[in-house]
Amino acid sequence: MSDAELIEQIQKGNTHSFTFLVERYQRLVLHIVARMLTREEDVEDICQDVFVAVFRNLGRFRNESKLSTWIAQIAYNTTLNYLKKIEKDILLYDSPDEYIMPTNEEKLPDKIIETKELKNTLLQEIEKLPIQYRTVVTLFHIEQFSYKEIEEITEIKIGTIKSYLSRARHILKERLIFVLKD
Amino acid sequence: MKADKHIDNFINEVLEMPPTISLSADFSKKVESKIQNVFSWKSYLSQFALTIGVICLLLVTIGVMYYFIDSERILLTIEWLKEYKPLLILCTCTFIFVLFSNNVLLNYFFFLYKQDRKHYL
Repeated sequence: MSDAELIEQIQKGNTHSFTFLVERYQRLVLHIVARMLTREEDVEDICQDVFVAVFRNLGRFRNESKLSTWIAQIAYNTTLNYLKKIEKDILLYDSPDEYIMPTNEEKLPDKIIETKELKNTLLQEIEKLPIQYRTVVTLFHIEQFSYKEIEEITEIKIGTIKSYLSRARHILKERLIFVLKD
Repeated sequence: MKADKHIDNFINEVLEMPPTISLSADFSKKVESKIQNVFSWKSYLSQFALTIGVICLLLVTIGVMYYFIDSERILLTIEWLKEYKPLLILCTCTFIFVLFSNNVLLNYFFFLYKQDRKHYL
């Protein structure tokens, strides 16, 4: 069933179709919410809130954008509003413009041994990145959204998105080198 | 240069890894039950509008039909209604308010009461 048919069914009052929509997009919503939130225990509740918001606003959805982009936008805004409500201080600290870039320009190790542990370390480093970096990285690398779609979802300009992606990669690279040397 | 590329590939690989958290197996069922608790303003308001529409249509149909039977009485009734215009407006407003309360407000308050009970149970 296409997204348009699915929306039509939901608008006719078919709740089973909405369950189908939830199953189709829960992975996308989970990835966005889980990357943005630091408290794991809140993730499922916020994911539920996202889908309730999707249900409430489905009447306003115009086929100008893809359904996935629209749902991702709701997921991003719902999580951001939640964070603004409970973690004001963290958001201020997390401002990417104030983020200090590491300047480690030491020689790279010749070869890295890709252990599971190293991957986990890097994943933890991703969690430490500013929230905007984490979001942009998730949307671009995991969900494969284009720059234009990420701009639509986050209302961050394409130039800034590219800069966040590059800075995030640079930070991770520096951290990885640091860990390897350690 | 080779090591640099190797690190880049490794970072790419990690960046493409989704977060390790997963949702509960019955997540969609939970969402479904949550959605059933969303108050449907749209359906209650359309029910109210439909009731008003049916009543108006009935009054107009009866009025038109009666006009062909006894036009003089209908004209007299209109004159009488014009005479008691404020009273007529008051009665109509009261009637619409009662209908609105019955169709929308009562349902909404009942919904809030149920939500509140669920919260405390």
